[in-house]
Amino acid sequence: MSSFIFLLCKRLHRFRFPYLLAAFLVAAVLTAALLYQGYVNALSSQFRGRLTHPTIPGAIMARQLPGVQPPVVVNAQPLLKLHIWDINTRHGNLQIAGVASTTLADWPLPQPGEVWLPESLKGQVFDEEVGDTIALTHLGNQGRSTATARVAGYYADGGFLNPLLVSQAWVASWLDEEAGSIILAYPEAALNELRRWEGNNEKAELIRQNDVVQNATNLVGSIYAGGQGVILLGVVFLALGLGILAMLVFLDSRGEFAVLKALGLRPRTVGRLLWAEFAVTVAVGLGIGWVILLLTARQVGFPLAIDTHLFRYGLLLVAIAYLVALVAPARLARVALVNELMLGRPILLWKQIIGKPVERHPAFHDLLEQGLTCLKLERDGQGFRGAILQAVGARVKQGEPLAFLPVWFGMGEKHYVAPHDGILRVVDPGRGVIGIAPIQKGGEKNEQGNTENRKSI
Amino acid sequence: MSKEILRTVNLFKAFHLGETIYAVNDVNITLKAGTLNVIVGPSGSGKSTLLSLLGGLDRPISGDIILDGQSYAALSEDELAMLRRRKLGYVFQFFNLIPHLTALENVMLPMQFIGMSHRAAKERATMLMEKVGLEKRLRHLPLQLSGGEQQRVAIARALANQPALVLADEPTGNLDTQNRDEIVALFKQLNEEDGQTFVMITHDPSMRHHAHQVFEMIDGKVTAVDNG
Ligand SMILES: Nc1ncnc2c1ncn2[C@@H]1O[C@H](COP(=O)(O)OP(=O)(O)O)[C@@H](O)[C@H]1O
Ligand SMILES: [Mg+2]
Repeated sequence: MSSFIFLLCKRLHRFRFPYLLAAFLVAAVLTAALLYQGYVNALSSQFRGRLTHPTIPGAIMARQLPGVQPPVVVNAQPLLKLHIWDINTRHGNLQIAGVASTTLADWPLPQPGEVWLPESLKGQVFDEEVGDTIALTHLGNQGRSTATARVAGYYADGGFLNPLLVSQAWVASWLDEEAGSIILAYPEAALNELRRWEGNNEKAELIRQNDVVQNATNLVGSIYAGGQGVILLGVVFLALGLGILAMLVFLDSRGEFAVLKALGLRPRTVGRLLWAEFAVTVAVGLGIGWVILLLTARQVGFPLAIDTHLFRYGLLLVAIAYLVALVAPARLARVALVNELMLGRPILLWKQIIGKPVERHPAFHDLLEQGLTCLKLERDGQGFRGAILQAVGARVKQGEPLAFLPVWFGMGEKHYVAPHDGILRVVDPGRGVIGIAPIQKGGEKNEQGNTENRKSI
Repeated sequence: MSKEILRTVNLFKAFHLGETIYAVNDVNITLKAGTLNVIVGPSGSGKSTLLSLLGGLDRPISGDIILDGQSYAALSEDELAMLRRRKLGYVFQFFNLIPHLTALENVMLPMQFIGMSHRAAKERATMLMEKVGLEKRLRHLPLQLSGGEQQRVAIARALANQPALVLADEPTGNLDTQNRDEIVALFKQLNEEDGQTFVMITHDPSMRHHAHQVFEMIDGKVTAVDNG
């Protein structure tokens, strides 16, 4: 057994709370995303392709409130006249329903079991489907009366769909009552005359079928887009959550990783331990999620369309979240030095070697004049805040460290190194400069061995 | 004179917390094979920092360490890890055993890292556990062992791959008197009988007395090299 597998098993065996959280986070996000997708898929597959009948024959609807003169349209007859009432449905909730009083020529009734909805509105659920019988309660002048009627379809009114009821024998008596409003459906040809009517009557209103369909389409589109957004958000949260948990495990394991590294475990192997642990955790989470999904699908009775394609989609999302989440903790585990881990020191992530002298600089003009090579040190209001490693007079070799400056809370370091061999002539943290004199040609040999004062500070 | 095992060259390590602390300031020391070397000095003088540089647990700002002819500066972190597993052993003040591995597994671990077979590793680990007097504690987890026992396991682990050098940072600092004496005796025995090279930080007078070389550190500098 390789020591990697051995360590992995031992680490997993020593249970850590973040593992459990990570597994359930994966399960929760996977289940939520797949259930949502399955639900939407199921709805659209149920309605797709069968829902082509227009709810109202006619392009324009004119809403006529009580007390308003009906529109005068010369070149077109209303295709449908709807009396709008409030009705009680069998679910007890109040809805607005229209009762058609004109003959429903060109208005095929749905066959039993058939569902009619405009294609653009797929995904919406109604209490009553087309073809259902509705029990109506009507409170009129003659008191309370009840009747039943069939739902012939729906008419769209400002983005909402209301049931359109088929006229039956009992409707005749109701039509004597003043309706809440009357809707007249006209063909497109009546548009100009209807506009004039709308202009003259404050309480008149035109609803164009095209606008309604457009609104409905937008609405449905945004529901779908929102759904995608919810899933994407889920993945982002999953990545964040997994990342935080992996970081917790890393922090919790610092001491152990320090010892493993001290004993000679390779840096990348330590990083891989974390990757592998969370791969196992995520796999467990996927398993839990799958079980929850199956149980839920069985419980709801609703035919959830969870197919393998969908599951693969879920896997992809979780995989992306996993990759994003583990990058930082695994990298930290890999690059951290033993002492940084063991003593809880900040982990050095980057080192910048600065060895390029300034060519021209107004502040160092005098030094450059003297023929010194100038290394510019980063400074704040009080000058250079890092450590100077060499003193004036020191003999330095090209590439030798002269100063260093921790930045970013110790996560980064700037190392200033000698651009060439030479002797330090100026070390001025206040001005933020180190000046190096090149070694005189010929004198080089003689000065060799004179290294006692190197680096003495 | 025996052969040189480790040498430092102008070793520097500084920390920067508002002001700069030169924890290791231009240290040049040499360790000989088979010797017991002791670093003494007041708290905060840089002993631990120096020891972790020697052990390749941290990187100096400048300077180099040469172990058995190999320069640390020339090594990548990966190569340094390989060097640590083959040539170095560590004993820490707080034992630092892996808590979810048994005593035997802890000792076997470095051997598994160098690709030794499970059987051979187990055999050698058992032998080492006998050597440190813990043959009856093989299957115990670290938390089921006393401090002195844990430190013995750590010593056995440090010896796993026959390292050129064992480093110990106050190995008796966290033990009671009796355990301290036993661990000190164990170190002496390993040095005398097996010729194991040690460098350790300790305040123990008898260890100091026994040492071949005593380095005294003050403010990051090695000020006295006492060749006993
Ligand atoms: N990570 C660190 N950050 C800042 N200063 C440190 C750090 N580690 C050690 N030091 C400082 O370096 C000096 C030497 O520390 P150390 O090597 O632990 O001393 P010793 O082991 O001799 O007691 C001390 O002044 C300590 O405060
Ligand atoms: Mg110390």
